[in-house]
Amino acid sequence: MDLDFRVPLIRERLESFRLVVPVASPKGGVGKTTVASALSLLLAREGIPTGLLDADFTNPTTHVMLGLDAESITPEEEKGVLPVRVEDKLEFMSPAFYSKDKPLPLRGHETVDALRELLAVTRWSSRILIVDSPPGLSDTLLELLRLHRDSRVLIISTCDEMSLLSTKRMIDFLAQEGLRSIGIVANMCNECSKIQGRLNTSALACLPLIEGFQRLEGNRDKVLEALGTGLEAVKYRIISLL
Amino acid sequence: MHEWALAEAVARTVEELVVKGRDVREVEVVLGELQAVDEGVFELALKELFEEMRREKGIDVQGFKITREKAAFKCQVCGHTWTLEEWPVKEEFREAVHFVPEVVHSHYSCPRCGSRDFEITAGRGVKVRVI
Repeated sequence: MDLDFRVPLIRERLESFRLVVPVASPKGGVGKTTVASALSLLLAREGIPTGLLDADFTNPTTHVMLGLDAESITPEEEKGVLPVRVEDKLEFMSPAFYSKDKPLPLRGHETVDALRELLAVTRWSSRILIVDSPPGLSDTLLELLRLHRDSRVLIISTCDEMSLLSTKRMIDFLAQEGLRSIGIVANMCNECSKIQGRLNTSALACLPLIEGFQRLEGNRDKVLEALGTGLEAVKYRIISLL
Repeated sequence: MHEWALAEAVARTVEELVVKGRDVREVEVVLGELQAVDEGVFELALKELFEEMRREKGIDVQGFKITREKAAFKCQVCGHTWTLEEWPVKEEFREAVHFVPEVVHSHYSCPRCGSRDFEITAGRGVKVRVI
């Protein structure tokens, strides 16, 4: 009998967190990486030991938001690998540390294999794990939710009709699977009431469109300055779950 | 020592099977050539972990054997098949592939058509067979 030998250790590692939060959306371009990065910084600077995993294997970019040069960083080896300490309370792991910012074309089962490998060997020490997931009901997201059913998904949505439809699909999917969500972050929205009108639930946080936000990418202080206040409600919701 | 984590994963799997009532007599660990696991280090770690499991949890695995599997690839675009002997991964990228074998797609390509869209048909990484 062939076994996937990594699964029991992965479950043990994930259960060591008080909370695992996949940041997800069925639609691309809504700001998952931005929110995952800003939220991780906000929690870490609140003094909560926070881990951030970039699980977008075919296009990891979280390191760019955090201002890290993936080409020059290799995580330290110690009975596995240690995530990179970005700040005093913030640990970070990314496939970009190994793909070195080159293209990484993976087919479905390979993405799952890569995720399992990284989850099995990474030795986190944080209380909470934020996972920046790729767009869609992807193999990565499905596998993470299969491995850790207690995950609490943070849904990111913009307020246009395509995104709202996608968000509704995500909400329906989670409900059908018996999985839980932390709530919805409405990003780049000037009319958050659309969330209530279309989805019959209110957004936990509403972040406006910030002109020139791209200029802040890589500057952690500026990213947090721009988004930290808007994400306070998410921070408190997460703290209440720890 | 990354091999420790891989050995730890094998030990956890065996422990879970035994706890669920499975009679585990012997474990075969297959080391895929692509991941280039150090067999000596891995074997030492696994022995230590099995001994710890016996001492602390009373779980006794009678034996394990380590075998190796050659890596093989097939291009999804042109259908070409090849091995690492015929077309090696450059030395500078082997460490990255050792940690996450899938990143071979970033540092390697089909020797015939140059595509990165290829399949690892054998010898990817560690596999476990319970006997």
